[in-house]
Amino acid sequence: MSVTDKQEISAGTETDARAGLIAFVVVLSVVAVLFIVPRIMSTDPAALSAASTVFVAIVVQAMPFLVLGVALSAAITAFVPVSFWQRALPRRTSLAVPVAGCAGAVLPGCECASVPVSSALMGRGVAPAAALTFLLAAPAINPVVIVSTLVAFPNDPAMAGARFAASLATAVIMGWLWMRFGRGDWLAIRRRTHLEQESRGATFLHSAGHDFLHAGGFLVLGALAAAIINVFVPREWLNTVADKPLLSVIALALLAVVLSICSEADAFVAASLNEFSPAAKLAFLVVGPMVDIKLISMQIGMFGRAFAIRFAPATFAVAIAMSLTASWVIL
Amino acid sequence: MLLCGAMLLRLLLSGTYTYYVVEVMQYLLYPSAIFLVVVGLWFVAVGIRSQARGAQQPSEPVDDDRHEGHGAPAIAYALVLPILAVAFIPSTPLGAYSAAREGNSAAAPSAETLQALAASPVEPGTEMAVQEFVVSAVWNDGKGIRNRPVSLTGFVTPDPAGGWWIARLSIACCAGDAQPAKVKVLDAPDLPADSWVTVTGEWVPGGTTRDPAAIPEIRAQSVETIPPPANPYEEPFR
Repeated sequence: MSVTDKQEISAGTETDARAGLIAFVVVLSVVAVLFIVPRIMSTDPAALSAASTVFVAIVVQAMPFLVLGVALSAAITAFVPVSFWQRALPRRTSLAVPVAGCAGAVLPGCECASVPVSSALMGRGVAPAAALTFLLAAPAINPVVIVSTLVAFPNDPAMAGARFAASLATAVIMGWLWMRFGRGDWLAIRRRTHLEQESRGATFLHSAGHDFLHAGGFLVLGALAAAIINVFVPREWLNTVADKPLLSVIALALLAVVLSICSEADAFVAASLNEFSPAAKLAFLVVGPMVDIKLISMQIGMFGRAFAIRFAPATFAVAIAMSLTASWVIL
Repeated sequence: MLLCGAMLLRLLLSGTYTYYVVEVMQYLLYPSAIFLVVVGLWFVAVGIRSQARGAQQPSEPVDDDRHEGHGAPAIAYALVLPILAVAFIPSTPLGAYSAAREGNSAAAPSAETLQALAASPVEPGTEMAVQEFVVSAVWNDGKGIRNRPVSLTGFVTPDPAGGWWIARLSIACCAGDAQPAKVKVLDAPDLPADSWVTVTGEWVPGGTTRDPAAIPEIRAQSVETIPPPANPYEEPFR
């Protein structure tokens, strides 16, 4: 079953990714021109300096995790035989999905690492649904994130538990949804096989390099967008919706998408958003590691626009639904 | 790739990385930088070698990506942007602009923290973190800072309503999540924004309490300008 999947999905093309990128950039530019450029014009250099600092900061912070992810994915491609995955995961994809979700607890680090790793897994024959579940779960439920959530909400340990549950549920549901509705031609996966002339070491280095350049480029674009919005969008827009129940949840979820903070730190930011309800803060925590500008950008790069257009909004909606459920049950 | 590794190394070695990310990240940044440099060098070496071999080889192994052999995908050139930013825009940490934009956001600390704060004796003139001062004033009824002069170190952030705050930013991971802690300074001369100072003074009781956005006040007895510290950010206070 996994072999047929693999052949289907390599039908996607590099051109699709490029088209996706162009579309993404166009949309961003329009937003920039409408809202942000007028502010920049009337703004002092301090703001531009702050934006530049945040931009570089996001990139620098993400780099080690990107390197980790790229190294891991290159190792998967070069050194781990395909048969390993067939043995490690249950044959039935519907079972493989939850297993992959729990496996996400094993990869600590920000979401930048999970995109290349997930792409490598798919390239080696792991069912896309399971790989996608892993992609969503890993940045959200690993020990570093849970611990930092506990630290950031010292009076409210239930928040960490709620985050874990809602995130895992979202990841697994998205995996099952993909199983049911996903189509191979929405994914643009590069086949990852040994080039016969190359040694394993060379494949490793080759893979790592290409993945880094691919993912890194998109990371930079995402970071740029996030930094500009971070610095130039006034906080007052948020405060007006803080006390409206459903609107505040959606507002914080959108904020999480836009800020693109790594999952280790978002707990502290959420804790500081005092005007908002716990449900809204939980939505911020659950949505952030799964859907944000940085991630969407990298997903377009690695999987193509057709994928990102469907996957990101769906994840957004499921994540909000799970946050509301978890906050009702747990908080 | 080589350039990215080099950029990281430059940031690390000059210490300016602290402007962008938490100090502990250096342990992750060093290996990453080395990895990038090594892989980057390998690509350069392969490129040189295959050029040297010339036309004897059949055209480069078919790359499943469908772009030409070792050519970098176009998007990779975006990686140049942060390299340019670091090279040409002087590195400055976040300062008064960011601190002024947001109100204080001191969430209620845990009960243990409050007890520890109340129990620790504060000698007059003690250096205290701005965050600790804020938490003591707003959440602990000023225990530990009542009627005792303390010293706060931070940067000047002009208050649009007049006067200035002494502020410090704390980051948990990278500059993207910076949170300000501010204290209003009374009886102090005007100073330019972003200058680093140590303010010694006493807390002015009577401000709003139990509100995360409350900004306490300190009446300055002395204000001393100091050189900016190597790491301008603090860790989040818990």
